[in-house]
Amino acid sequence: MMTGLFRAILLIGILLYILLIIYLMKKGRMSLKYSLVWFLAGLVLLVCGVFPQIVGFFTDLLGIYSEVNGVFFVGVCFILLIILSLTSIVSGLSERIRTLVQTQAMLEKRVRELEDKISSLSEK
Amino acid sequence: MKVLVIIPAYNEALNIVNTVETLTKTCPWVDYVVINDCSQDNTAEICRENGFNYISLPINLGIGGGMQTGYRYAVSKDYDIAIQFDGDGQHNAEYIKDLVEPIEKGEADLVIGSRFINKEGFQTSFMRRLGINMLGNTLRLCGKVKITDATSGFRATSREVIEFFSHHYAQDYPEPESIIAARVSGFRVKEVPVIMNERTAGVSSISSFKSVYYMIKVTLAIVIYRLVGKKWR
Repeated sequence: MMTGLFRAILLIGILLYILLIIYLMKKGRMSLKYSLVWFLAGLVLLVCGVFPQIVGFFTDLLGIYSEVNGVFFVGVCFILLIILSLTSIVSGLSERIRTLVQTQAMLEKRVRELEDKISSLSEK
Repeated sequence: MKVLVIIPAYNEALNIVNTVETLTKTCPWVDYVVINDCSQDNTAEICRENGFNYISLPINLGIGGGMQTGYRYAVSKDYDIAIQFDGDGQHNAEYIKDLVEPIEKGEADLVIGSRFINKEGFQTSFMRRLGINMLGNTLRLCGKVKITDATSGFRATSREVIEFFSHHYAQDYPEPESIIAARVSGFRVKEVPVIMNERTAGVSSISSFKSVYYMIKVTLAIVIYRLVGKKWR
């Protein structure tokens, strides 16, 4: 059983959380692509807060003692999912940075050699 | 055949001049490129003053990213064979021809210079040999290839492998990982005996403190690559 107090805290918390995401997106500090998984997490928890009977149905089904534990479980699952997606994003970024750095270094070499060639030509 | 020697250098100010000069004296028929991996010391200035052919990375990418730069350079300049050659004086330039030979004959795509075939020259510590042996066993199980010196950074690659490595090169501890990558993609790997020197100056990139972690990580990386790695092309 979820108490009324806990539901109220959950709902207020999630509302603030969703407002924060919208704020970050408005400021351009979070791109739409990466905000989706965060929104999804908020949405699911919002449903948990509004309709505790849904949580009750699933906690009974999965053999979880209390509905609150079910809500925590869902939250932890989302955190894991989000961290995983972050690791994947970081891996992609480091791959891109590496390619960029290598290309830049090769271009720097070409520019350096061209400059040396030009200065040796102008000396003649 | 056009041969490029890739010399990765991180804080090798004390060794690099000697390495490059010995190389060009011993093997005048090869080209070389020094990859300065954002050294903290004046490796880049030394390369510039001496008129070396070098690429200077603006960010430290580690040995994997550095080597990959060399392979990309080899692709852009259309080289047939690329040699990895440490900037710290550990490798002997006189063995380059031995590394190149199996590729020229078409017997292998990746040739590794091994210290442990003839067991001559610098043999490193007992614990390291034990570790290298274990990596060799892992590679034999996962890649069906006999490797006695999996961590050797003295190696030659054919044109196809140059292209493969320029696209996909293991990043953290690339020597053993790149062997399994080459095997999964169906390349032929061969070892030839070489004699290595002890480092003349500077410190090895792998400290003994990290070596246990290194072993676990590399062994896992090999197994995981065997399981999920895809054949290239």
